[in-house]
Amino acid sequence: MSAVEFLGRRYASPLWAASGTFGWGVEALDGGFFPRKGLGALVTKGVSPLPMHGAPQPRVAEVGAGIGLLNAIGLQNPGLDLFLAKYAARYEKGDLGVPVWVNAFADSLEGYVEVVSKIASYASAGSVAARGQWLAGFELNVSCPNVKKGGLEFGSDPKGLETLVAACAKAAGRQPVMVKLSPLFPQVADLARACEAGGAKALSVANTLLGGFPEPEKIKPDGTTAWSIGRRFGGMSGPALRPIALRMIDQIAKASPLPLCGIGGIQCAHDVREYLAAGATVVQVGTANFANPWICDEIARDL
Amino acid sequence: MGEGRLRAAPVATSRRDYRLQIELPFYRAWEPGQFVMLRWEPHLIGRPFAIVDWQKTSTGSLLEVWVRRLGGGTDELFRRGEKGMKLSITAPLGGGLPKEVVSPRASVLFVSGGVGAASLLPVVRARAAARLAATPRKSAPLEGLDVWVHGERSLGDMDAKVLASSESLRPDLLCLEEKASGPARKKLPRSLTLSQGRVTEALAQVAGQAFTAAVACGPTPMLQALSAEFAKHETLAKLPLYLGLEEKMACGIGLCFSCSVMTCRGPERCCLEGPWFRSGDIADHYRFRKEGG
Repeated sequence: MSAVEFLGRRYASPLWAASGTFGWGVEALDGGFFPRKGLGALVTKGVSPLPMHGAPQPRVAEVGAGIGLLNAIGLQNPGLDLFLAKYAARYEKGDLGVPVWVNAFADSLEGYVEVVSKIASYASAGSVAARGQWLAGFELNVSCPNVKKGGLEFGSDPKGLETLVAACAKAAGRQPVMVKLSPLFPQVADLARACEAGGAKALSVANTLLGGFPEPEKIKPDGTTAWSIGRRFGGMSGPALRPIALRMIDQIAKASPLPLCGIGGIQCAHDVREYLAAGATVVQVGTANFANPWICDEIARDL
Repeated sequence: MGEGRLRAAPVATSRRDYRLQIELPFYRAWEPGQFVMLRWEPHLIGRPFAIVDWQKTSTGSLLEVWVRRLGGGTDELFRRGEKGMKLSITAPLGGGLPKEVVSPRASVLFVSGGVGAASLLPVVRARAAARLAATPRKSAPLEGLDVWVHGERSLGDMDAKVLASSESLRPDLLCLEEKASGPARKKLPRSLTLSQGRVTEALAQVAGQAFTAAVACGPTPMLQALSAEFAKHETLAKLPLYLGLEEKMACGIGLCFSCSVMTCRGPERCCLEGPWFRSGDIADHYRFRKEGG
C-alpha cells in the first residue's frame, strides 16, 4: 500500500477514520487500540460551539446481521472550548502521529464560523515546532440526520449550502474545507457544484441514511411498541450504504472536479478499490472500526 | 483483542440463562467487575458481557461469561453456538470494582437482579479468597460478613450457578422471587433464604448490619429503585453504593459514544469511565437515558 496525496498534503495511507467512529483518537491511543501504519488521518467527532450531551438510550442497534448499523448518538461533544483544551492540545503535541480533520457542526451559520475560525486560529497560533501541522482541514457536517435541528437544512439547499461553505472557507484561512454530503437528497450534483462555488476544496461522500425499525416483541408500559433506538430514527451506516455512496460518487465525479473522499460500509481492501474505481482519492472507514480498531492496518496490508 | 472458540455448546443454566466457556490462545490480567466484548460473524458489532471467570490453561486461557436470552443476538448465539464456534474478543474492558469492595476487611452488601449476578460473582469469589488468606478458615469465608440479595422474576429464572456459588463461598444469600412459581420448586442450598417480593423490599431485613460498602448490578429500573430505597434507610444512605450499569455498546473501547451515562461530572462512557458508578454521581442518568441531553 502506498502513500497518497490529497489537496497537496501527503498521507501515509488513503484510509482515514470516519467522524464519530473513532472518538477523538486519544481513546484508542491511550487504550492501546490505535492503528500503526494503516491509518492516514483521523476525522474527529463533530465539534459544536457549545457542549451537547446527545441522544437518549439506546443509541445504537444493528440492522439484521451484518447489514447495517443504526445510530443516534446526537452529536455528543464537549463543545469548542473543551475540545481545544482537551483534544486539540494533544493533537498539537503530535500524540496521534496522523493529521486530523476536524468535523464541524452547528445549528446556525454563525456557529459553524465560530467553530472553524477558533480552531484554525488555535492551530496557527500553536508552537513553532508544531506550526499547526496537525490540522489537515475541516469537514463540514451538513448532513447529520439525527439531531433535532440544523445540519440537514444546510445540506439540502444548494444556495444555503454555498453561503455556508463560503463563510466557513473564509474562516478556515489556509486550511481546506471539505463538505460531507447526505445520501438523502437526489440533487447531489447541484449540491456538489454549490460546495465548489462556495470554496470547498473537497467533498466527503456520504453521510448516513435516515432509518429506524420497531421491535414488536418489546412493548412499553404505555402499550406502544418500542423502537430499536431512543430517537426512533437514526443514521444507518455499514455495508448497505456502500452502493448508495458509490452511486453518489459516480454522479458527483461527473459534475464537479473536486477531489472526493469516499465513505460508507468499507470493510476490506476490495471495498476500497470500488471507491477508488468510482472516483474517490481517499476513503474513510467507519462502522468497521467498532468491531476492530486496527481494521485500517489490516486493509492497508491487503491493498 | 483476539479470537477464541467455544469450548462446548452453550449450557442452559436456567429457563433463560446459559453459560459460555471460550478457549483463548492468550490470557490478560483482569479485575472483578470488568467485561468483554464478544462478536461473532456476520455481525458488525460485538456485545458486552461481564467476566465471570478467566483462568490460565496449558494452551492459553479459559473465559466464562453468562448470557441471558433477551431475544436477538443472545438467542441467536444460544441457537447457533457449538463447540469450536469462533468469537472475536476484546478484553478485559472497563474499570474493575474499587479496592474498598474487594478488601477482606470490608463487609459488603451485594444486590443483583437477573444475569446481573454474573458481574458480582468474581468479586464475591475474590473476597472469599482474600478473606481466607487473611484469616484462614476452611469453609464459609464470607458467612456473617457479606449479604447477597438476588432477585428474579420467578424461580424458573434462578440461575443454578448463583445458588451453587453461594454454597461454596457462602455470603448470606437472600433470594427474592417477584412472582410466585408453581409447586415444582428447586431444591435450595441450606444457606439460602427464599422470599417473595422485590430486592428493594428485602433491604429492610439487612439494613441493620454494619456494611462498609454496597454493590449492585441488574436491570436499570431495579438500580434506580434501589438507589431510592437506600436513601430511605438511615444506615444504608451513608454507604458507598456502586452500580454496574449496562448500556448498549458498539465498540466497548470509548470510540462510539453509544453508552453515555450522565454523571455529576457530565456525560461519561459506561465502557471507558464505567461500568461502575457511585449511585450519588448518576442521579440524573435515569432521566437522561430516556430523554437525552
